[in-house]
This record gives sequence, structure tokens and C-alpha cells, in this order.
Amino acid sequence: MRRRFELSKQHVLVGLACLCAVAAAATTFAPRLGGTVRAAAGTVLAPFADAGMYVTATARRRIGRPEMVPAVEHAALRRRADYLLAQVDHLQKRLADQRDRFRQARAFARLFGDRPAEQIPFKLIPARVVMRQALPYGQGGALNVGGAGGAAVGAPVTMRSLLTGEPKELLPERWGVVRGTVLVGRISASWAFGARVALVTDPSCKVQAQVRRVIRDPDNPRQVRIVREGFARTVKLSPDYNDPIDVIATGGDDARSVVIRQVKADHNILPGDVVVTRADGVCPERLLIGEVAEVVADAEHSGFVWLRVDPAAELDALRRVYVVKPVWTKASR
Amino acid sequence: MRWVAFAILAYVAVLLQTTVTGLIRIGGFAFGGIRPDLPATLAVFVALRVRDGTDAMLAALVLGAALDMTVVGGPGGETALGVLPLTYVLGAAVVYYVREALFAERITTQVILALGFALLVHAGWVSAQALLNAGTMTWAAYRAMLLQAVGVAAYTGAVMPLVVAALRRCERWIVPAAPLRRGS
Repeated sequence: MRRRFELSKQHVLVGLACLCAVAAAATTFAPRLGGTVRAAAGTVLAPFADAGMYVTATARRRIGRPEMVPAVEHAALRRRADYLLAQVDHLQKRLADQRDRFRQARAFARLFGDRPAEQIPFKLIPARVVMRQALPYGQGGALNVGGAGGAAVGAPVTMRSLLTGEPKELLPERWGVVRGTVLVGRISASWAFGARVALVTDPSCKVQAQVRRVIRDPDNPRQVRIVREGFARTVKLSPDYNDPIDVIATGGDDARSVVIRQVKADHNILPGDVVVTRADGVCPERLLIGEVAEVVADAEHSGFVWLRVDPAAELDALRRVYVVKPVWTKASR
Repeated sequence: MRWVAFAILAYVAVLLQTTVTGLIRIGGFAFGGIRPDLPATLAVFVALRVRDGTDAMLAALVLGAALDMTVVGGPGGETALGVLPLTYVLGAAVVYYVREALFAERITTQVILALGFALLVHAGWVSAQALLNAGTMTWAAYRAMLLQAVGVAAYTGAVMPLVVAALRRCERWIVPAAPLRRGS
């Protein structure tokens, strides 16, 4: 007589364990498959996770270090003041340049009539971080805006940097001063109503960046090596000899800093120099990434250093962000 | 085992893990930040309470799978799906078979079991993912993640008594009371 098969808990357990083993093998060879399954789970979790993230971000902001406030040490304040003075100088030059261009544009308009204003090339899509990475080994989170809202894979994610600490007593309650736009990370996966962002501190996040050296003491500038018209020479750092240095920034192994590897030592980069984005067709240029915190000689490559960069964004209390969407691309233009 | 109530509890545990554990995250270590693994504490609690070992392993598998769905990155970038549930099952089996030799009501036992479970699960998961992504992983990153796993395990062990105290109040919804036997 044939024995009837009965499904027991042991059968279910063994079946599910085998399914897990197959999933592990399949997603090793096809990582996109894992992303699709996780995207579906994100859709289920995200609506209820939003409230939890609100509580976490609000509490973190209250008990953690205030957003974008520098250390209250004399040296740090001095460095910051010097940086701001250099910025003022730079902006004054830009303003003079813009005035000159405006004058030329008016002369052009007078001759040939008005032309339509150039379209803004990037659009900012407001989003919220509704969930963070469950385990602390990677740095990422889920957004409540997905492919349907315009969040495409590779798109940069930014946040407004507010001066909420220093001029608090000068401003009415709940007011802030927008200091600039800070890069937070890039979209690593996107589905209809949500997207996953890999933060700048995650090793999988790579950003085309530039290091901009800050002229702190104009009377005693540092020596840098430049190449002009095919000839290399050592000069004093000045606005005329301060070309930005193109680098690639990626997340560090410590999950809290950004790392830039294989930078020539003769660029003479110092802690306090600023790291910003470089235009790559998807990412706008000059979004602040952070400030160089440490310059370490590369033990494996003589004449090179690697840089540890402190991210400008307060990533632990991340909540309101903007997904950057190019309005046009080179192909569609 | 009451599976509907357990599924709701597992959902809440994963929600808390992906949101409010960021609030109690401890940073400042050279290897990165650490936070407790709340689904692991629930898996240990269930493994200590249920009468059937298969129930303990099934519950751990469900928790591991739910947690695995929310893991964005890890060793070598995009991590393979399915490894975490398997390590959870292994951990639950160890806890279930070891519990007979221990006094499960003692806080020290709960702390040690949670620490051991989390260490086994996280060190196993990090090692397996590193092996699967051997091409992109470096020894320095692997060492840092193993240290992070030890930190996560210690933190999970530390919060275990609090979780047990909270779960005792809703224990009867998850694990039915043992029927009275003759002589008991």
C-alpha cells in the first residue's frame, strides 16, 4: 500500500532552507535579482517605517552634534574664518566677472533683441529617508520617491546645509540660513515608489570629485607643483595657480568617512581643503562633499597620498533630501 | 507557536531595526558604528521558549529572511540574498540544543546566549559575504567588519534582558502555555 505524503514543519523548514541556499547562489551571480526582491520588501516596510525615521532623525538632531556646526576650538574657528575670507575674496571676483557678463549680455540684447532664458539643467525632487540599512556594515537607506517620481539609478542625492547653530540667536525661531547644497549619496536601486540610496560613506558609492585647496595665509602660501604648457614647476599657491584637482571619492572602511586614494603628494593638499563634486553628466558640479580631515602617505605608492574626508552632511540624522534629476542629457539635447 | 502573532512581532522588530536603532547607534569606533540586532534577540527569546526545535528554527528563518530584505549593502557592495536566514537557523538550532544545559531564566544566560547567537550569525554572514565577493573585498575591510560584528554581538547581548522583560508581557500571544501534565 502506498504511503500518503504529509507536509510537516520539518519539510517546510528544509524546503525554505534550500530556497535560501538557491537564492544565495542566484544573487551572487545575478546581484540585480537580489535588488528586485529587496525592492519589493522596501515597498511593504516603507509606509510604516516613515514614522520611526521621523522620531530617529528628530531625536538625533537634538541629542547629536548640531548640523554643520564646527568644533568650538580656537584653531578650528580660525581655520573656518580664513576659509570664509578666502570664499569672500573668491565671490567678489566672481561677482565682478558676472557684472561684466551682464553688461555684455545687455549690449547683446540691445543689438539682437531678448533671447529666452537658458533652462535650468537640473531639477531637485524632494524626498524623505523612510528607512535605514538594518545592519551597520553598509551605509544606505530607502527613499519615499522612486522611478515614478523621477529617481533614477545613479542620480545624486543632496540636502540643504543650514547654518542652524551659529546664528541661532540672530534668527527668529524655526528659521535657518541656507549655506549650500551638500552631496549625501547616490541612488543605487530604484523601483516604482521608492529608491535605495548608497551614502557617500558607503564603499560602493563612487563620486567624481575635485579637491579645492584653500588659501589660508596669503602672505605665506604653501608650495605646489603645477603643469602648464607641458612644463612642471613648483610655485606658491595663489588664485592664479590653484587649479582644482580631479579625484574619485569613495566610502571608507570605517563607514563614517570618505576616502580619496592615489593623490599626488606634490599637490600639497592639507587638512581643511574642500572636496566638491565634478560634473559628470548626471551630477552637477560644486556640490559640497566634505572637508579633508587627514592626509596620509601611501605606503604602497611612493609620491602619493590618500585623503580622509569628513562628510559635510550629518548622515546619522538624515531625513529631508533632494534627488537631482537632469532636465536634459547630452543625448536628448 | 502562534504564527500570525509572531509574524506581526517580526514585522515590528524589523521596522524598529531599520528606524529607531539608529537612535541608539554607538559610533566613534575605528571600524564604524554598532547597533543591536533586535530580530536576533527575538529569535533567541523564541528559541528559549518553544517546545519544538523546528518551531525555533522556522521562526529564526522568518526573522533572518525579513532582515535580509532590508540589508542595503555590506561586504563587497550588493550582498547575496539568503545567507542571513541560514545563519539565523544555525544560531537558533545551537541555542535550542544548548538551553537544556543552562538556566534560561537567568539574565547572565540570556546575555551570553544572545551574544553567542549574534556573534555566530554576524561573523558567519560577514565571512560568507566576503567569500562570495572575494574579488572586491580587502583584508582590511574584512577585519573591520569582523570587529564590527563582535561589537554588534556585544551590544545585542547587552540589550537582551530588556527585550526579554518586554517580550514576557506578550509571551502568551506568541508561544502558547505548556499544557498541564500529570504530576506537574
